[in-house]
Amino acid sequence: MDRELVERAQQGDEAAFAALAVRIGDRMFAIAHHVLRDTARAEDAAQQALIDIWRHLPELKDPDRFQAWAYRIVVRAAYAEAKHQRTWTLKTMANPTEGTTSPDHAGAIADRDQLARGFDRLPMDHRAVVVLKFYAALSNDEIAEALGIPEGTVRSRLHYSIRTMRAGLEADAR
Amino acid sequence: MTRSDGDIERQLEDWLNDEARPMPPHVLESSLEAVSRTTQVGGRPRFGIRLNQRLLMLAATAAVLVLVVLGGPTILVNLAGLFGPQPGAGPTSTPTHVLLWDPAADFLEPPNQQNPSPDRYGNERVWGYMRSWDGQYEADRFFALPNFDVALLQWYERDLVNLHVSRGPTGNDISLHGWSDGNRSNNRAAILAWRSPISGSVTVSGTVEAEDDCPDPADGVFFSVARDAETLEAFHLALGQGRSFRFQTTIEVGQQLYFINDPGADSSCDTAVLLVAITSE
Repeated sequence: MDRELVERAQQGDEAAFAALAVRIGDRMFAIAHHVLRDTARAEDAAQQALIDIWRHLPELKDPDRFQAWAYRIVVRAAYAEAKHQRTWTLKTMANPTEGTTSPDHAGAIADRDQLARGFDRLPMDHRAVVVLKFYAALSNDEIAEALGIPEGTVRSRLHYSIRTMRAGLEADAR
Repeated sequence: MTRSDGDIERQLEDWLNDEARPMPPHVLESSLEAVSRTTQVGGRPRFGIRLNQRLLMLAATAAVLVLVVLGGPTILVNLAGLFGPQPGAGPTSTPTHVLLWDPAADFLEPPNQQNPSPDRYGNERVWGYMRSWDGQYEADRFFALPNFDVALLQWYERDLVNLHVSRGPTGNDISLHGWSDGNRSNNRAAILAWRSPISGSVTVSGTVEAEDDCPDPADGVFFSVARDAETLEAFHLALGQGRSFRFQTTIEVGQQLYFINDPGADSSCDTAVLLVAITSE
């Protein structure tokens, strides 16, 4: 991420912030969407996160850590959004399965469906760890810092998540 | 079938990337609009003028009430006419939300490349990748670059070596390189053009760097920003040198801003990397 843009936005430059928002917006929205599994809620969370980032940007001490810091804010916004409604339903996106497919392709589609189902079954705080690890490509210590949890908890959540996903994939394969 | 943890992790990574959805434009717009009304923690108060406006409104309201009490409904009707819409006033193209244009974000990759190309809001012919006819920079003699290199993501013209406008190596910026035969009056500048889809005030904020690192002496680049024929910014950058710029300007629908990279009096090592954001007020 462009350090100069971050520094200018920290000083109140809205144009620099707008440029930053364009650069991180898609990833922020995708993180919120993966964690919440709901498009409308992800939109609200991403918007709140961008506003929070702007408000608190002067407090960020190291501009080089902007990206991980922004991801922390979007995950927290997603958590807050989930709490707004006590009973919210998980929505999975249908995968296109029309048309002819080779056996390998059909197998890949089946795997993706199973991955989606397994991912939806994970608790939200586990999904957040998985998303930051395998989508945002953060290290375990960055995830720990982003979520405010010990690194050991990151490792155990990842372990549990992979185990759960494996169980789902292998059960469906039998 | 038994899968290793690594297999599942790779599948997860692929699936998460495939399922990622881009942020809808209206979310970005409404966020930036909210940001324009939000004070940063520890930042300067942004409501000084609005506080004054509120005090003025309070005073005006009190005055209206006094007049109503003293003068009756006739005065109120006349006052309402002062503040209401004027007869015959039509819709304006002034934006109600903060809009943002970023040439790197809007740059279309193959097979969808177009010149000119649309912006993220679906407005057609907003971005142009161009060159000048010669060293006299007159907007009516700027021409679209006809060729596209799918590997380098470059708009170029076959007969003009090195001349291109492309998405830069980081994906966050635009790279421009002009052409020269050593005679500046023959130069072909590389130009990024933005055709405004709105009327109103815009802020243009950017950084440009002459990034080439050449062993031979070179005279750097001459960078300028123009609105149609009027130059708004102009400066020289020596090799390795960068500079930021920020200005506000008013613009009408269809007017163009040009970001122009003049290679100077030599024909190599003239890459300018431009990071720019245009935001509506």
